[in-house]
Amino acid sequence: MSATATHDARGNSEKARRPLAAWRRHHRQCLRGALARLIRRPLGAWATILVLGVVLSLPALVMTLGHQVERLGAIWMSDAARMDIYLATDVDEAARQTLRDWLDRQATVAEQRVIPPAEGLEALTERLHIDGLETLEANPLPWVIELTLSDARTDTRLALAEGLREQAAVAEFSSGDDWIQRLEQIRAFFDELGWWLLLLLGLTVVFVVGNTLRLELHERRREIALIALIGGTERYMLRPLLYDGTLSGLLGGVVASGLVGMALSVTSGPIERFAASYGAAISPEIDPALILLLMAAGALLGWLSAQAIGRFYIGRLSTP
Amino acid sequence: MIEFANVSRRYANGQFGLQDINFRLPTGRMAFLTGHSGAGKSTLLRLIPALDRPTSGKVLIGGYDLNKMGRHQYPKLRRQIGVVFQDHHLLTDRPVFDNVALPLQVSGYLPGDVRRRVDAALDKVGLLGRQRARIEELSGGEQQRVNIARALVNRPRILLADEPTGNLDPDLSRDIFDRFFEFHAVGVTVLIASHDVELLKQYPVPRIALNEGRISAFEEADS
Repeated sequence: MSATATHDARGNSEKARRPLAAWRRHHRQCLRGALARLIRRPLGAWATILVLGVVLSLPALVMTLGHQVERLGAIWMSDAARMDIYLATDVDEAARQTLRDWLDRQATVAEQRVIPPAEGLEALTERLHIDGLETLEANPLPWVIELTLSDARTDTRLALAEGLREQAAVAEFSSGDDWIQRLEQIRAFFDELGWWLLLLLGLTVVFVVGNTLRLELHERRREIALIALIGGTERYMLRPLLYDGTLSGLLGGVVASGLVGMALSVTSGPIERFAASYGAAISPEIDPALILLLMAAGALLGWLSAQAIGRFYIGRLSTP
Repeated sequence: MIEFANVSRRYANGQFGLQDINFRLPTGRMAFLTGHSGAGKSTLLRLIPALDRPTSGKVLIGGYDLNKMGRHQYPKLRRQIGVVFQDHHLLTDRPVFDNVALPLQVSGYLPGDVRRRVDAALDKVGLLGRQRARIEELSGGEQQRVNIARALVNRPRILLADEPTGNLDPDLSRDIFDRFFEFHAVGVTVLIASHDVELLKQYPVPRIALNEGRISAFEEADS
């Protein structure tokens, strides 16, 4: 095969055209152009990016709230590996021992501690700062057995609870099940709300970016009409716009991450104190996956609005 | 080849820009389009690169019916047509080089080829050495020459010009027409709209005379 370039009558060389290399070059030019426009018109471009950041930060905040609830829930769950059994008032020493023996045989019970009514009253007096409780004629508190369970799974607790209900000596027992279920529901609610907000506000992002790009297109309409005249394809004309939209969206995602981070650092005090009251130490931090999600969502939404606005206007400018 | 068959272009206000136009310009031939301003010269030229569509009739370029062409096919058609417009259509925020290089970049030429071809095109119009000049720094005549260089740089099969010498003095006008004539000599189909009758007389080229959107006369070359 001959490697020589073919020339037509007008001297055009087929070899001179390198569509792929030219395509890569144009992508690089478009990226540079988008960055240059960002620097050249900082106020207009950054105003859009800031609006995007605020809009995207709302669903992110809701999702983060859900995430914090989940983490606090996990602390609650660790607390849930405990269970208090309140004995009936008429239970004698023998019956108590029978119950303790039964509890010893349960694989789910790791430890048990008996709290006599006197000790319970002392603890209560101390906790409530009430004087004079010791003068009560009869101690109204029951015997309590404090259990430490082998694990905090709901199944374990339910199995044990079933057994306890059959024990005559047991008047009542605490189970944190309701709270755990409620927490899970709250977390799921925040999560779902976050996704819905992201979807709804995503539409806002499309319109905000779209409007900025429309102005950009209007400014460049002469250039676009000219490129159409000299044989530029719609994709060629659309490409700079796609870079503008994607870059704005991406930076909007970064701003949103920053805003969520700021909101978390402001609320970190109360959350840390709450966790500390359960003997846990958590410091609220933005989830790295959320940062990635925000940047990806911003970039995708920016790209989508550039596609929509670009195809509409460029089509009108370049075809009769 | 450019062929118009019963072509009419009617505007939204009901007026005809062109009415029942029929002519054929075979490949490699050159013709002038004459007539007063408003006679329909620009309207006719705009139909060739599909910048406008006829209301009725057919425009065929190289045998292809433009009515049957989809919008994704326009770029390929337009890359084969160099257009020199009355108003310059230059990008004033860019230097001369970038303006002339645009058709090559759009068509996917490499930077080395782009530079060589742009230099050659600027040399042809006498602007070699002005590559870095900004468009605002150029005179009206120089701007028109940049416009011509841009139309020639892609070595198109068809060259269309709409009053290309409108802003130029007689010597420069003749110079530009000489270049068009040279281009025609290497096989390019050339169609030039001009009302400069004195200038046109100097070239042995057939003339299509338009009057109120109709062809009023088809004059063979004077010689």
